[in-house]
Amino acid sequence: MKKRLLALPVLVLVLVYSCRKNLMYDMETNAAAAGKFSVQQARDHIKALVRGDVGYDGKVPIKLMSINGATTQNASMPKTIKTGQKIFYPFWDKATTANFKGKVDYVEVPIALNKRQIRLYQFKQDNIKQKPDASVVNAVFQRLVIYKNRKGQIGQRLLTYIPDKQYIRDHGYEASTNSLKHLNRDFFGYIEYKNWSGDIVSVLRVENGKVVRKYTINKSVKEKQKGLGLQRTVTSTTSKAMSGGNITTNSTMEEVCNWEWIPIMETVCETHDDGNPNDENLNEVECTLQEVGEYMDLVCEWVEVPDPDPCPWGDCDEDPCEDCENPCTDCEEPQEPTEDLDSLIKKFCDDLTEAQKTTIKNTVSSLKDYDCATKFMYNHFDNKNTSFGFCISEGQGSGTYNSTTKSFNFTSDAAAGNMYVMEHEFIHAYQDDTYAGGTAQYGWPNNSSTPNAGFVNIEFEQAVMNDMINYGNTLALNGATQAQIDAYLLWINQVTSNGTTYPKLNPNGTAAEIAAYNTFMSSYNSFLSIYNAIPGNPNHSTALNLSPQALIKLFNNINRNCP
Amino acid sequence: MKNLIIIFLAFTFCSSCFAQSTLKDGRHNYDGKVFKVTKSDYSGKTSFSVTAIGRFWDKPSPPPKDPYGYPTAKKDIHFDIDKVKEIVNNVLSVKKKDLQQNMDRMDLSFTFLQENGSIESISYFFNGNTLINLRDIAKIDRELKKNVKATFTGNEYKNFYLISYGMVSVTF
Repeated sequence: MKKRLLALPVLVLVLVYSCRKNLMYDMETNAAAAGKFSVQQARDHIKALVRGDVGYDGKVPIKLMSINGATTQNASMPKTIKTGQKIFYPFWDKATTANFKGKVDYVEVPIALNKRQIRLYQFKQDNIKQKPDASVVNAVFQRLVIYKNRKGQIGQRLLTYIPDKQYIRDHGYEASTNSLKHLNRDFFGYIEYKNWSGDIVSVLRVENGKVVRKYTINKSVKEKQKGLGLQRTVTSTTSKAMSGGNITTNSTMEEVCNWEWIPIMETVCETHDDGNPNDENLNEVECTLQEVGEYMDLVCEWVEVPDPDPCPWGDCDEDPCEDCENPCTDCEEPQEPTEDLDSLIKKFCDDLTEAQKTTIKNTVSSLKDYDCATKFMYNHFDNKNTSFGFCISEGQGSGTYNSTTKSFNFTSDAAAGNMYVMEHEFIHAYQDDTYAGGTAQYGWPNNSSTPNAGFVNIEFEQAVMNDMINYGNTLALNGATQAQIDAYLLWINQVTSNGTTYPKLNPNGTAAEIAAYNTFMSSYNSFLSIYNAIPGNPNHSTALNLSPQALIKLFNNINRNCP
Repeated sequence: MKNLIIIFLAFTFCSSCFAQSTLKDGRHNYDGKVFKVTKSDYSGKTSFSVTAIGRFWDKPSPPPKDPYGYPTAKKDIHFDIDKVKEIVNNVLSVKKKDLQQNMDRMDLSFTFLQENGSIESISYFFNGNTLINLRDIAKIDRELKKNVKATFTGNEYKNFYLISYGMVSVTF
């Protein structure tokens, strides 16, 4: 009886939860059915933009390829600032939907970035009394806005809310209750709009919860690192015709431009993200803040303030179109990446033909299902938002991986299209990613007739990995005697159980695991010595006592049959 | 009569003894060839390799013309794998049931001569408890070398004097 009484509330909770789930589903479905832009549609849109995404859940990192690439391409970016890899996390469960003047539906989603650079605007027209500092940076928050206009076109903007110091002082250093849908009546600050490419399209000045000025940051011609004294007295005034948008249609606007110095604060946050969405520590974030430089930007202010509401779609001032309706999303097509690149391809060398690019794209894409090892490595880099440069040009051998530039070079079109070569070079990239300090330290320096010590270790490890993946291959002992090759094959046969498994090694595990590791290493090192002594081996070098870390890490993570 | 029974029993027991020690470490002359049998213990598991000693047994095999050239892909090496399995199964047909019960397997690593596709060498790999003996292996080796030839496509193979195919696994 007692058990039954206890079971009752549990049952009720389950039922309530089930009802709640259905209710949420129905709300989404109804919104979609009514033609409104739903959170799910926004998610689908972003998912389509971020190709190669897996899982796609509120906790799963989204790889911002375009933004990541664009931040480094932005001409105004000081070269000393390295943005590194950006990953942003959308909190879809906190997304809100809204409509702007009955014309545009939009979804606003809170996001967190692992690394962000904040421009601390302080335009003189705004008479900001308290200079923004680290406390402001800490209060800055970012949102992703996905919008859909009446023509069904969907676009997106990355918004950064930069509250004034006075505002956050008055609000307990918290400003994230603000949104486009609802700006607090006493909100003072800036809202910066970036497009998907990471370019700033506009900056709105908000005072008392209303937009009072709108700035466009047209171009940057100077850059400055801290401590360099450059003049800041450039002023220019231009005027331009503007139509459409949320500025008075067919009116002529005057644009006043000034050179402004804008300090840049950078926060770098480290998470426990290892690609596992179930990682309990995923949301533990440690951030550091530093001033990394200043931008000198030509900031243009629209003297006439047309619309007090914040515009979730940025502006279309640069490219007015005939049928541009207000809001002006009609001026631009939904943004897609300019080139349909695989997520592991960062860029191609300029001289590649379209046919060569296609060859590389196809070969890289084939890594996804060539074998379990390539699949794992592909996903490993994809999840880390790591991408590489690709070239086809003269060089050594069939292909090379440059651990300094993180790029591949193939010496012929055939090599670029050869899966063996691609897998070989990707194993090198994986080694580079695995070894502390990368593998450049074991590489072959330019203009040197001999490789660094350890070069043979890296090449041998790669060959053994390949031979274990492709059971029966003996790449590591090409040119050895038949007796040596037989011994090597017998060892491969044993450590892989006739090619049905991969060795699972733990050099820091239990006594039994350490013993197994030592047994493995004893044979491994004896074959390494044989490999290094093969006559004419181009990878001969001084051997180091290196543990094959990439081999261990890869094979500990994969099996013969992959999901 | 008593002596006959004793002799018969002794013969039967000896046959049984021979059957249990199918492979032994070392060099063995058989069918006009010298076979090298290697026994290896690794992490509590015993395995054997068997190879008919050839001309490159203890000297380096000819290096590729281009040391950086990539290996010949399996798809560019063509030979009748079904025939390989058929030959193995035919030779071992009388033992098939025992081999199945023993979960026996044979892994064969082929090396072909590039110039004419003939088999240069075959290395055989067995579990430690295999029921397959050297007589079986010698017969299989002779039949395979007599009946199996490879052809090659593509260009990569031209870089090599010897072309390795990798493993062909036969389970029973």
